[in-house]
Amino acid sequence: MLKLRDVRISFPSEEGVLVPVDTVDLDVNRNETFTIIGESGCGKSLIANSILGLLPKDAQVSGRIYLEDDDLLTLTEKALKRIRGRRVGMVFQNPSSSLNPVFTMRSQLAEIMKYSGKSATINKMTEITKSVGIDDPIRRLAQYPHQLSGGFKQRFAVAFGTASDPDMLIADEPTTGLDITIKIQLIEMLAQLHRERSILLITHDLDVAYTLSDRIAVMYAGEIVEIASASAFFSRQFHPYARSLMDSHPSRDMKPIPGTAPHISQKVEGCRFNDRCEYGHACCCNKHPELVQVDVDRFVRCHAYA
Amino acid sequence: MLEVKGVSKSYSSGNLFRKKKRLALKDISFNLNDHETLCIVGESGCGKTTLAKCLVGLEKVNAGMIKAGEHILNSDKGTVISEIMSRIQIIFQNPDMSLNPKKTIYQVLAEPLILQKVPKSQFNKIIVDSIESVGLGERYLKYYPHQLSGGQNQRIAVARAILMSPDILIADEVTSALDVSVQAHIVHLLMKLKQDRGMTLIFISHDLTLVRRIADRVIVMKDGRIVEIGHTSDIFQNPSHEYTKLLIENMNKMSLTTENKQEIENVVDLESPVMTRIPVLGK
Ligand SMILES: Nc1ncnc2c1ncn2[C@@H]1O[C@H](COP(=O)(O)OP(=O)(O)OP(=O)(O)O)[C@@H](O)[C@H]1O
Ligand SMILES: Nc1ncnc2c1ncn2[C@@H]1O[C@H](COP(=O)(O)OP(=O)(O)OP(=O)(O)O)[C@@H](O)[C@H]1O
Ligand code: SF4
Ligand SMILES: [Mg+2]
Ligand SMILES: [Mg+2]
Repeated sequence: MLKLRDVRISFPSEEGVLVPVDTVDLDVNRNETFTIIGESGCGKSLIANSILGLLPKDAQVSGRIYLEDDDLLTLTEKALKRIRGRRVGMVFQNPSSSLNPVFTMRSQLAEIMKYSGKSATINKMTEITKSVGIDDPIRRLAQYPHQLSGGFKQRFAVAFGTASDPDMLIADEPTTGLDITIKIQLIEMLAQLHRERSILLITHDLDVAYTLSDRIAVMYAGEIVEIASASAFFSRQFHPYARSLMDSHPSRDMKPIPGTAPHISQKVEGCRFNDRCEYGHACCCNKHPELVQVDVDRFVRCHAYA
Repeated sequence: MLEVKGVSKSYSSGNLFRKKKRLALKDISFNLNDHETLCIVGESGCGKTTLAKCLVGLEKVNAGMIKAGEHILNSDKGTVISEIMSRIQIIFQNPDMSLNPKKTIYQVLAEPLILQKVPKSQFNKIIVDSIESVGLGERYLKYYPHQLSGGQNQRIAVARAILMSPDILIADEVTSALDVSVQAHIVHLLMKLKQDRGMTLIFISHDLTLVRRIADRVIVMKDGRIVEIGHTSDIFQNPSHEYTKLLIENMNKMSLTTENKQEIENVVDLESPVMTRIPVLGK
């Protein structure tokens, strides 16, 4: 369905080129939920936004991004516009900035539906609004973003991403700021959706990742460091970063990983995790590890498994 | 420390001709104790952010009052801008709202120092300590908020609030945009501030596993009201209100949390070597 090959995202800057995303390869299969987790700032949102050509103007993307047979990076803005919202729906991280402050939720939803060729009847709008767990849709649809609490904005963002009934959904942190009851409801809705659609999910919420994903990719400092089927991954993590990440969950040790991730302007010779890794070998500091297959359903970027 | 007495707050909606008022807070009363971590949980739209805004004086209450000792900080007569108010800081749910897009991260972090009349010569060191304390580094200082990720901006907002040296810090859903490792880092930082500076923390969160871990007391809100308030262990072990029971039941449904169920302890280990220096303002 969606294929990323050698995708590299960079920004020119005074101190040389910044490379927040480096040669990422991934496939989201038909009817699959593929989830990216990883350190805050590792490049997840940039990847999500690159697919539909929504990066800032100064960003440079190389590599190939295919949606079925379309080579997205070669398409014109006009052609991309036809794909956005119709074939691919998008839920942006941080709804406060992606929702339009001067229109009511109703007119924003109507706009999206009309654009994708659906008739925006009030019944249909009510139904969509209800599907994201909003039980007083008429009142909420009449409100402007600033009149809504964080969780309502988040739910409208999900409603907007799914309103046009796209074949594929890209959802960047769709459940942040939701209370547990609504979160479960939204997970159920996404699970329902996923039976007949592909989802690229980005989340920090390991519960959500666990419940929804077919496969998981873990990113660190602009690279994928582990890809595995969700069941294999959650029973055991191979990459040292992935393991430490799981251990810092509040239901476990809640120990932060010592040190900080390298800044995107820093050139790291060896493994990007080496200064924080407790298993580091001598070669980790000067040789960059490749992503290699270590099991039927697992790839890892780490010298310890090479 | 703070006394909240019978506070109600309404927002008007509708158009110019047909104004409707809707209560977002109904008769809220509680005391905030010195040096405690008070967590507020409750469904989306129940009024948590509204309550936080009233506590810092960003919204005027319609009835009742908020007092610090003898001083009335917020009542239907208005909010008081006083020394005490500046001792209460808030970190908002959405960092985009609180960071000025036209300022570099350095300028954002310099603001609290200018306000507190810290000598210019100390700026660099304090600002570097400050950004390191939230797990970022010096290299970020020259960028603008739009060049940072969502979670990075959230951490800048935390760093700035801490530089105001507050006695009371209100953190509104500050960790949900962070991965669990960075989340643990920020929680450690806040707990450390509590320990070292006696800071009082109001922590608004939907993450009950985390709340259970860090709270001294918990307030459960529903539909603008407090339905239950109590010590963390009481709330989680003997919830009395139906809504609290439902929350805890749902928390236990989250598979990852339950499958790893080592008994969740109400402790945060502050001895970990991870913590960097907390910035100190030499005054
Ligand atoms: N316009 C830009 N110019 C320069 N650097 C940028 C720009 N946008 C993002 N970056 C950098 O790219 C990196 C990746 O950002 P991205 O938003 O993709 O992170 P993320 O993985 O989504 O993080 P989070 O989980 O915090 O949302 C960050 O280090 C960020 O500072
Ligand atoms: N400026 C406003 N005008 C009108 N109504 C508002 C305004 N701000 C908030 N409200 C309403 O007040 C109620 C409480 O909102 P508040 O933001 O305090 O909720 P919350 O508990 O913080 O929710 P969340 O967990 O989703 O952030 C909501 O119904 C919201 O729609
Ligand atoms: S390559 Fe070396 S430093 Fe990197 S994660 Fe593996 S063991 Fe650790
Ligand atoms: Mg992001
Ligand atoms: Mg809120």
